Amino acid sequence: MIASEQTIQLRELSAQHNEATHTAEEHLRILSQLRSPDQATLGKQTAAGSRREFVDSLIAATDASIAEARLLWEQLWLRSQLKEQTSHAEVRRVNLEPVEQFADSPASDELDAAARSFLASGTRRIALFLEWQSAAFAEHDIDTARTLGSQTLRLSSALVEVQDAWPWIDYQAEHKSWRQYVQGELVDFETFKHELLEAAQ
Amino acid sequence: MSFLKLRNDLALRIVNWGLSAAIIRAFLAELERQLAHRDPADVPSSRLLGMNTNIIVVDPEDPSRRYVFFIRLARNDDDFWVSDVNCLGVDTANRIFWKPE
Repeated sequence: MIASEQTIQLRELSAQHNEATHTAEEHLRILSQLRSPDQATLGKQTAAGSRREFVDSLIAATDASIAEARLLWEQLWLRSQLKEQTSHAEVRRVNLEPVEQFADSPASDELDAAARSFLASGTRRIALFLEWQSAAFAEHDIDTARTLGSQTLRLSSALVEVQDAWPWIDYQAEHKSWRQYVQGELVDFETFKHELLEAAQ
Repeated sequence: MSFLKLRNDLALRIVNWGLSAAIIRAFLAELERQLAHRDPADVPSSRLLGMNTNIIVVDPEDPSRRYVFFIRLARNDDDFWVSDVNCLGVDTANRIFWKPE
């Protein structure tokens, strides 16, 4: 695939991406209202970037568990990242213009970077959509769950298209790594050290 | 208390490699020295791409043998964590004499 085709494809996929984000953000707004007594305060704390403060204040203000508070922080943090990346995509779109002059050249580093960014944010967004879909099902909000399911499928198709064009980017690894964090599949260093030393005796 | 976290199945994977206790201790000491007490903000890695780093351990029982641990780090704004570890044993001529099965 030549660079100009990749540029056009990336633009189309970015537009789909943004539309999916709008729907998902609306669901997040509803979800936050359900779980938080004071969304404005929580929003400010999230903007300040301190997860510990956010989790502590949420637990103090509600009956949320640590896992729920951490998950909500992740969602709000991801939302701010998605906004940042959407803005980044706009800048990237402008920056891609010179690349079109080299339409007959092999894929450029700029396109590679844009595709990598798209794949990384897209896979994280799918993880987020799936979390929200589970929450919507739990709340018997079938319409929202169905909408999120449909957006997830669209986004997955877009990711597959980009992955086909940039097969050397290992987006599955990025996705897996992120899920490890969100799902708490990690231990701290002290625990790891203790387990390893004990087994190695 | 360190900032460093690791995937919870990595300890078992490393145990199954059957390395000596001396090598395991040397690996843990170097991992602790390089990464365990660093502030996440000071770890030179990309939020999207993470970071790869190596830890080289000379076998205390045979200095002609080295074990190269390949460490894959992932991160977000607040934390970083080891998402994968692999290892090769190489001799002084950089020939591979051991790798995990």
